[in-house]
Amino acid sequence: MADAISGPSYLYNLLANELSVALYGDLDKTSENMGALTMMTIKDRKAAAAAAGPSSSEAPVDTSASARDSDTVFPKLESIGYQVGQRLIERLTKEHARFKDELDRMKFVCTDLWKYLYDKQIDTLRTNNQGTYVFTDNLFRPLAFFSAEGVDQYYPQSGRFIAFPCGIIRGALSALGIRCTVSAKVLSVTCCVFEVVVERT
Amino acid sequence: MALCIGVMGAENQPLLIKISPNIQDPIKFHFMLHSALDVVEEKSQPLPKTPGSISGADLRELYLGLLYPSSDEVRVYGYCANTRMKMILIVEASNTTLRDNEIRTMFRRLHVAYSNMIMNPFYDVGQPISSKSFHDFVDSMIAAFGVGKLVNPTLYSVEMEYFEDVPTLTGIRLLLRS
Repeated sequence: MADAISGPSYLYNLLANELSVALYGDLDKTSENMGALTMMTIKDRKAAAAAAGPSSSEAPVDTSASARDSDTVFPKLESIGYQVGQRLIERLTKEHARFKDELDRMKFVCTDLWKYLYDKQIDTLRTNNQGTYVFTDNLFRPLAFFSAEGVDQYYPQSGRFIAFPCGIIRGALSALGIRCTVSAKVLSVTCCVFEVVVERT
Repeated sequence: MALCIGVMGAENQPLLIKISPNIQDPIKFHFMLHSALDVVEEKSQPLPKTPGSISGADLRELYLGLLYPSSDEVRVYGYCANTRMKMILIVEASNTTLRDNEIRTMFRRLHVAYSNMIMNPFYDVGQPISSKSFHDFVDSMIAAFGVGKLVNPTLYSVEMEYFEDVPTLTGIRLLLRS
């Protein structure tokens, strides 16, 4: 298992492929920037966050575009995440013993998958035992380096960075045999809550 | 040795079926693959809770082992990944050099090849596999394990002919060798 979780290089290969296939040409500049941001490694993000300090005034410029984008770009990014999650999970579960039940699979997503993607585990996993699971990540990596000045500075924009992780969760779970819908909420700039509702048929 | 390799998707749809080119009646192998899927399904189900049972420990493994009690002609092995991707391998029963461990290794290599293949963005998960490298890999796996004598079609018919005349097994073996 330690071998399989060696680093997110596969993720970035896939991301680059999927993003270029799906987003090629038919999105405006704002969305491409968004894709590029999502692709950065954590190290890159640190550097970018440091660099973004002075140029942060650019960020609010795209607020007018964001409303227009959100309808088309979110499902698109989400479906990209779905593809990525679905493919990654095959590799990650290769050496893993057969899963016992649904909770076992959820735990795998919260621990192993999350560790592979973001170098940390989900902080809490809660369930009502009726098919709703809530993952809370108190320091969600894609948002972890946002708070440049003032906690709420980028809060309005932070929502757009969770579509992709939502898709990854949905893809991973569907590959493991759980059909579900995933929604997410950003509570504060670094804290993100994912809600997974399993579809019962 | 390896006569047939089948890869099936999560919904039991065939993704790739390769049958050794020396085989005369591929239909029979398709039939065997499909009936093997039922056994795979059964074996990969979560178990009823019986703590401490030996079979319970076995079933946590992805490799499912021999699917049927071995018949005279072939042995059928199964493997079911966590993503419900299934692989079935049919080898000759006469081949005694292939042990459980070798079969396990073959499955593991196949699984690695599959998980590499699935990284291809042009491949849609769950669709029939068209990737050339994966095809080549499976071909090489079939070729590397060759095809033994008994299944060679010409010899096979010889065996059948002589079966009426020479009732003893040793007699058949001798005739085949000559």
